[in-house]
Amino acid sequence: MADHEVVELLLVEDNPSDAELTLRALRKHRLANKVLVARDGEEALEYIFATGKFAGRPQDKLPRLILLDLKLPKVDGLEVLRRLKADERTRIVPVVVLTSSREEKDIVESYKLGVNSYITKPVEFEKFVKAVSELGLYWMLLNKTPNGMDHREI
Amino acid sequence: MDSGSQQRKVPLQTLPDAPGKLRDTGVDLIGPVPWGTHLCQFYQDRDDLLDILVPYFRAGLEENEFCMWVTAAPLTPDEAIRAMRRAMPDFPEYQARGQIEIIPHTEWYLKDGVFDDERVLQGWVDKLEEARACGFDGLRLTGNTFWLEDKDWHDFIDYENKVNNVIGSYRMIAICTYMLDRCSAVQVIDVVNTHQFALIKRAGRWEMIKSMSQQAAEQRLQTAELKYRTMFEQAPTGMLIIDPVTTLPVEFNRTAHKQLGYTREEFSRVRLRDYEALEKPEEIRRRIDELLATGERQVFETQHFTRDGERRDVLVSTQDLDISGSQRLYCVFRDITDIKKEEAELRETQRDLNRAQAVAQTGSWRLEIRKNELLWSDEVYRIFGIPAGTSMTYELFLAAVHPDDRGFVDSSWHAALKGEPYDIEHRIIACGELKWVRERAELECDEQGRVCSGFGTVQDITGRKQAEEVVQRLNSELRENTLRLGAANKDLEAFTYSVSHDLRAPLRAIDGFSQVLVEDYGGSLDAEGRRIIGIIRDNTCKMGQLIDDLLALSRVGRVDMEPVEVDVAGLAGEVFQELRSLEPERDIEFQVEPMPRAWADRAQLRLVLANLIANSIKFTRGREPARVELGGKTRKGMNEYYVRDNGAGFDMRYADKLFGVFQRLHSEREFEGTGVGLAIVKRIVKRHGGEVSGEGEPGVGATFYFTLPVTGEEHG
Repeated sequence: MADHEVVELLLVEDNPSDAELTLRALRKHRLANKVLVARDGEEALEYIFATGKFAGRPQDKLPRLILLDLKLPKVDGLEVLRRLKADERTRIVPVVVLTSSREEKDIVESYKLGVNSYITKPVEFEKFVKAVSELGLYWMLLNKTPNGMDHREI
Repeated sequence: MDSGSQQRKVPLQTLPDAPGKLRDTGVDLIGPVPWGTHLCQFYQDRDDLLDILVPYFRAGLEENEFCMWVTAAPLTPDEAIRAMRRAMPDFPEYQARGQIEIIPHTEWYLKDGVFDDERVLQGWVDKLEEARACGFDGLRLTGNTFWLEDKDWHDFIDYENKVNNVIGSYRMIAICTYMLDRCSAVQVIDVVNTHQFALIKRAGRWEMIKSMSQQAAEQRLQTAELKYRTMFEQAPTGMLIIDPVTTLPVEFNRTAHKQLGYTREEFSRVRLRDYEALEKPEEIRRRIDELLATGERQVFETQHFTRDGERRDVLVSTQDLDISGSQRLYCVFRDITDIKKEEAELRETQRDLNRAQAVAQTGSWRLEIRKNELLWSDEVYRIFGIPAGTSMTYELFLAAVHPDDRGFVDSSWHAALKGEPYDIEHRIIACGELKWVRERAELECDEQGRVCSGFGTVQDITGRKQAEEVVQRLNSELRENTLRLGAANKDLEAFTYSVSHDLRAPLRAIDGFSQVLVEDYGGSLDAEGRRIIGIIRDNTCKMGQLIDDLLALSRVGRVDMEPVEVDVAGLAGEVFQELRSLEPERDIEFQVEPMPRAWADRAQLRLVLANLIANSIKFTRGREPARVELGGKTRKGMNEYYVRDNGAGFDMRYADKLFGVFQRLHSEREFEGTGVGLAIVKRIVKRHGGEVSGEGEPGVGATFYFTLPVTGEEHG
């Protein structure tokens, strides 16, 4: 992905296998062309807020969806979520937590922080693909976002 | 009689020369008289004189008295001697002994023709001395006044008065004889008044007249007698005069016989050995001899038997006494049974008090502030390890207090003196041993409101303090352990969290890339290849399920329970609908019987029902229709529920494996499952304080039971 191209979906995932499988699922259903993968919380925040290695990125363009894993190195998922929802500009970006954790406290905490949706990753691949495609369909295609955001037909 | 040239003065105020017993006068009318008796007799003729004087002197001779008969007309000495001889056959013997002197008045009263009263009186006294020197008991005499002239009357009466005094002081008895015809009425009265008794013959019989003074004396005597007798009789202690020889009570008061339960009559016949309970007769005899010998009073305690044989404690005071010449024992018996009983009770109370203090490990003390005298009970000495009876002061007490606590104790005491309450705990050093004590005190003030004494208690609370320390130590250990447990739990939670997250990720990858393999390279794979990949994917799926189940099981123990009242029937219905929706095509009959509400954590109870109902649904696969039934009742203080199905059932031989983790009674091929479900059920139910069990019959069905407490109190 070119740094300065518009990113439609930000995938924050540290596990390469999971990342690959997710991308595959997304591609298979043609849900997103421009997907940026951030390997840890710090990278995710740097991209969103155009800091660090992404300094200079045009800030007015934000992804249409962020898929966020919770267990991340450097800055963990919940912290990323908190920061995202704390900032007025980034608050409106829908965030779906896609994570292995079924722990009640993670679910509760995420909703408290304002996550839009919480999905647990199933072990079975088919179910996983189904889950990704469903949420992709919903968030990317069906769901209406406020003005100012680009709707791109895939 | 030798009168001597010098007139010796008669000592008139001498003390009686040992009173002794009464003397027999020989005259029944008079009776026995003591020494010093002075009588007179009015006679008319010689016979009158002999009537009285002969028996008088006979008695005197027989009583070893020296007799002196001064005669006057109408009686001559010879006539007197003859009369005596007639009366006493052995009279010559007495004469030979020189025990009697019969002389005419001329040789006595009117020596040298003159009556000298001093000389006469002295003569009597000398005669007595002589008689006593010869071994006679005393002097018995008679004097005639025939020779008296009227002109000498008044002198003579003076003389008679003096005679009274003399006779009364010595061992003498005198009868003065007066011729009645020669006495005028006035003279008769004079005579009667100067003698104790007057004998006079009237109508042929002798009568006795008492003089006024005699009557007065007798009256006084009677009054005194009455007074002393009353005192004697009414005394609250027993008073007795005992004969030392017979030990019979010669005289005794009412208390003496009553307190031993005898009548007066009975008691007069009772001897010392009959009621003395402790001393043997020989010991009694020894004591009496000692009393008589030393003449010293003895006071001692002993016991007496009452008439009924009851033992009474007695305080005896006894002394020898000479009463009218007889030796007697004067005894006072004081019944002290009640006093001794009270003393014993008091001692018992004191003992109980001491014992109570010892048992309670609490001693009492009293501080006399002005005297700085500290009085401790035995228990306080014991607590402080100081020998009982040691004199204590406030300073000595303070020295026994632990040095670090001394300031506190001292200031507390001084505050108490100002009216603050005194209830402190502090340490003491007792024989090098550290002890804790609790002290309480009350202060007493005198009339001016100044504090004068304190009364308090000391309680050994070392045991309690040690127990408190142990409790504190246990508590802090408990706190530590609780913290550690909490930390361990947190670790476990974190671990579980990691496990659930981290274990699943590789599984997902395995499954995912296997699928990728199939999708992208499925063409180059034959059926076998694809089957193999299928196996890989099945297993990863199962592993995922295992992980989920294990996590569920562990969560049961970790999560806090919030017991509430749960409508089990309703919850079961909910669970059933959820589970049935996973297999909508199946025909399952679901029967809910009435059952009591449960006291349980709702989420966990839901898990129990979910596992059991899911099992029933699973194992009734193939049954047409599948039947699942739920019910419950209260039994033996618990609520017992059941879930019954008409499914595959199980062999009861393996029933004990039912609830084990990963234990399965059916193969994977027959029914899928990890074997954790029932383990979860068991753990949850047990956590609620209940029990689980199962019954089954292969091919017929299975029933699973679980019990829950009826109310919150039984929660384990």
